[in-house]
Amino acid sequence: MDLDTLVVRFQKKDILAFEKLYDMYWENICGVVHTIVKDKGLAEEISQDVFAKIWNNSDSYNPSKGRFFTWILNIARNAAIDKVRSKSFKDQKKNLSADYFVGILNRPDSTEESKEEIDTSALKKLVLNLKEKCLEIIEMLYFKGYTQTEASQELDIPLGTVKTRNRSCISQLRKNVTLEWK
Amino acid sequence: MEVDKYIASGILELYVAGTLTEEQNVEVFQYAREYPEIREEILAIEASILALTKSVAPKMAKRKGFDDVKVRIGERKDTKVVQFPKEKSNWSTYTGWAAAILLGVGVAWFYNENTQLKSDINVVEQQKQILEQQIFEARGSLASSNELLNKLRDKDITLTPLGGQEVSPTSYAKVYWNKKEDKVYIDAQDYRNHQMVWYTKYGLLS
Repeated sequence: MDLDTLVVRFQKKDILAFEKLYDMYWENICGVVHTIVKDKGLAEEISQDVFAKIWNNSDSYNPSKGRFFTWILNIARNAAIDKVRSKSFKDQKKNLSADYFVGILNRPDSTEESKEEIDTSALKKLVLNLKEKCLEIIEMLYFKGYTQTEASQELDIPLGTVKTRNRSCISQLRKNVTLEWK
Repeated sequence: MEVDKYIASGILELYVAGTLTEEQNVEVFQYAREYPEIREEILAIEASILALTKSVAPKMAKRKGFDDVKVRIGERKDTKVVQFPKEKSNWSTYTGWAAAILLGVGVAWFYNENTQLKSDINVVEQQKQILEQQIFEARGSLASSNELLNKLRDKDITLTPLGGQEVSPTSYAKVYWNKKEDKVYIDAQDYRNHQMVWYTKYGLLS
């Protein structure tokens, strides 16, 4: 069953199709949320809520307005950012450093035994040869949900440059992914 | 439509990021239907983002699982999966019971102590009353002794010692006679049953 069919069934409230989509995307959603909230338990909790939310609002997804993953990615990002901005989160004095996955890269290599919540070796292979400005722009557009305009202002580069720089950065990422698969 | 140029523009990367306008999204969607290269490109971009987001997922995650989502969306009635881990609830149950038993034992002990103390107080109270009575009696006795002593010390008193008769030769008594008041006090402490004191207008006879 291809993705489009799964999504159609999901929108018709087919719980089995929903479970397949959950299995397909759970780790991705949890990964994005985790880079924002920086707490494993909280990331899992928010991710579960995100999936409950997409089921309850499945009608609002329209394939002509974007990819299914893009839709749930956006919901997850907003949920995580809302949590980080909430009073309860601030009261817990969580580490609110601005970097998302860029910060993870600066941590020492993790091993099976380490207490690190993320296996950084996989991430390091993926972003191999990616320049700092690539990590920056990918983080802004995919993890922080910046618009093209916001990214151009933040990076102080022309609007068109955001598009082309992101394109070249994603190309390098794609090469790394292909290497990973080989 | 120059497909290569369109792909190279970087719009598809932004499409996957979800930062395009609604109109741009619809446009890309339609081109993707029309041109397989565009569709393939979108899938490849998405795959790289999926790989990246997956790589930052926490280790050993997905403990709650899909059943928990089912509970959240009301597709499953039991709340089993959202309960605390079993060991944890058992631990807290045991602790709770242990605390309750300790409290019970403590209360019983205190009740027992309290009862004991109350009964001790009663005993002491009774002893106190007895002692007070004795003090009262002793004071009365002292007062009458003092009065007697004062009477015997009177200057008008005449002391007459009396000896014992044959029946009890060692017995003795003393007679204090106040002529002025015409009163007689007899100290017959050692006069046994057999003795008598006769008092006539002529004088004292033992």
